[in-house]
Amino acid sequence: MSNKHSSPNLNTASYLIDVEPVEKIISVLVLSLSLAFNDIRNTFTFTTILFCIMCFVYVSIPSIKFLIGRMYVIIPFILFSLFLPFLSKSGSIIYEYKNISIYQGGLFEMSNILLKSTAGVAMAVALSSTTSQFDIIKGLERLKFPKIFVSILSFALRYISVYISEFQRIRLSMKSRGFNNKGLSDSRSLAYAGSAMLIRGFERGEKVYSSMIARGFDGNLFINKKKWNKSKLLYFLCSVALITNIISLSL
Amino acid sequence: MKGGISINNLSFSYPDGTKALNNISFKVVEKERVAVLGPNGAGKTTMVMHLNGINDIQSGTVSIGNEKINTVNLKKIRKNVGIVFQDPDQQLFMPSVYEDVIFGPKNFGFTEEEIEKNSKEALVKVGMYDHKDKSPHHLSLGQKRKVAIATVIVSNPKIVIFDEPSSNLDPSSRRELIDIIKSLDSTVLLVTHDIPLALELCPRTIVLKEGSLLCDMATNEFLKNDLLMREARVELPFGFELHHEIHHIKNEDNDLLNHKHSD
Repeated sequence: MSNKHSSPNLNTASYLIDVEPVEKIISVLVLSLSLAFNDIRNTFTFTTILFCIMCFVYVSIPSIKFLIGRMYVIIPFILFSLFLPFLSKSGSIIYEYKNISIYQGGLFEMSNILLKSTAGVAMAVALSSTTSQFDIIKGLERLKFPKIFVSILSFALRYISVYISEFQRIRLSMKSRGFNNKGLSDSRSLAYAGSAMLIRGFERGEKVYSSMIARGFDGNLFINKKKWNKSKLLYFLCSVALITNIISLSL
Repeated sequence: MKGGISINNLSFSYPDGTKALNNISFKVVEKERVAVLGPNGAGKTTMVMHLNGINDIQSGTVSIGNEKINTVNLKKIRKNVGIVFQDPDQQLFMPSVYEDVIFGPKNFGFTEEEIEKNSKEALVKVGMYDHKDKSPHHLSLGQKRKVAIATVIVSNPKIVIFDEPSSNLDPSSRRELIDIIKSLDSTVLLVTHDIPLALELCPRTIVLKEGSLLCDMATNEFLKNDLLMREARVELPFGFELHHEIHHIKNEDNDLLNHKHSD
């Protein structure tokens, strides 16, 4: 019994959707860190790890369009990295036109940032398209994250939509009484609305806790243990990334 | 554990000194349905919180079946006394309907087979089995309230307490709620401002006012007593014909009351 296929953002066609979330979280960490600790100039190791990441992303996402549609977050990194060949004055000059020079070191740094940020975000998209938010939190619990931290994350996720709806209702009631949020004096009203939300949040927290102890709560929030599959592919990809790293370090 | 309730001289004050309950005493026999009426701030919810051990007993005693509530038997008491809270968002805090429903039985130590069987039965009973994998936030208020009921009846409690169960419900959801409550084989305590609901479901009514017990009598007798109703700040909905309603439910009430007396 599970809710793992209920979210519309999940790629139900991927076989990774039935894989233990802990394995996916660990794989993302291993592959990301392996890439982060390597440099593009270490070509063999870097491209091997990048290939492992591409495999992980490929089996997770339904289409390239799906991936691109969720990668807007890297746009600032791309914009920033595009200036690096001109600004980072390391290495030799490989091209010069009037007063503008392109440096080799800057080009490497640009490629590094571009590839690493793209790979990192793609992995995050891959993880979130095969694992629901709550399953990621449950995975963190299994990784022995503090229970209180996991509970807070879970409640935040469960109640964020409740608070957004509540704040929208407050905004609506403000608008219906002529509030139009134009200028500093109006932000005072918004601040009052925000503080009212905080007080309500505190009260709701107390009520939720009452209802939890009314049903015998004793500190364990996630008690529904689902049955997950193991993934040989993830073990393989992580092993390749780690072994390549070790070889690279020993050379 | 049996499903009777016995409250003796219960008093309670909040930390700021506000006296919420003042020497309340009454008894409810097993499988009886009793309405708890009273104006806002009368102490209805505060009293209800004592029945499940959420509020500590400061003065007086509260017994469920033959057991007085104390710190040792709290888990047993909570297993046998379920509360359906007024706001379903307060009750449904897990990622999915199913996980919310099994939260109580898991804590109370039910076996995996019992949990599977009870959760299915509870969700089918409230008509929400097809929604078991959904997030509670994506349900309508009526559906949330049904799930909230399932989270309580899944543990087969001897006593089910409803706090304002019909508030904000549309007529058809309200009717479904009434049918669910009628189908319960438990003692029911119904805290409400919905007089027709109390009249339809509960032959007996307890009225609280300013933390004290104002009266404890048959619901139809209370609703015929204008003076008492005014004192309790309770009134019938506009256009509500009490005599007709009583006529309709009279036989059911009599059956229920006769059953209690024969016990």
